[in-house]
Amino acid sequence: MNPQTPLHLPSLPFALSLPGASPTGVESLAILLLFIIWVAYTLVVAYHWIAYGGFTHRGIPALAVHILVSATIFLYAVSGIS
Amino acid sequence: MEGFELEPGESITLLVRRHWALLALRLLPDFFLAAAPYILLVSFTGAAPTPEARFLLGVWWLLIWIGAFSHLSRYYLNAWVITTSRIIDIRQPHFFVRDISSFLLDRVQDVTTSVDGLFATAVGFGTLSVETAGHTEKFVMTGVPDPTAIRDLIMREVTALHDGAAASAHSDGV
Repeated sequence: MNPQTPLHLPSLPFALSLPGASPTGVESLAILLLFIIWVAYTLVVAYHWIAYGGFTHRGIPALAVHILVSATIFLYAVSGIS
Repeated sequence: MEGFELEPGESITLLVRRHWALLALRLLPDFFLAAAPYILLVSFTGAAPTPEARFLLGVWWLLIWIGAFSHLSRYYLNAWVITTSRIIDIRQPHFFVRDISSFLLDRVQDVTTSVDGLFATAVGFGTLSVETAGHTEKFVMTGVPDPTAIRDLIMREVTALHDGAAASAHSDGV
């Protein structure tokens, strides 16, 4: 038996999102959640680097690299939000 | 390096971390996990990632980066400090878990080194074991760069400590 309509693959994962929720809304919520997790993680890691890793010698450059790389990735991810 | 206080007259001789190659090995899976989705995406579609793919890749890379930076942090926060009178072992297996232990150099009886395997030999790292008097437990540093040089340094410090003690006892006796 031949198919009546051509096959269209869903654009995962947003085709599986809740009815009524726009893809942009889901993406923005995901980014917000990730940002909250990232802020908590950054506070924890900053405490350790500054308390135990030496404030000026390595702590500040390491945290600067962390924030710079994270910001670049964040911008890349946000550029995908339509 | 915070977490311990030096005694009066004590100074840090050497601060040792694991060999950088071990950190690189630890970061290698993160690199492949980060690169794999992008390579698969580009090789299958043959085009630049769509906006949805960019979003997912960004989220994935951020999670990978958090893991990789945690590895880097733990590498840096774990260290051995050799001072003129003791060896201090600083262990940070996880965030908010920090163990600092130390023992005096004048208790050192034997220091042995071992370099096991082709990779360790080629790159130049190994294990250093320190046996102390009165303790059956060994003090072990794994993956340290140039363990032979560290052993020689510890033995020099031990000898200097013993010579100083002998000279002091001799001058007291005279």
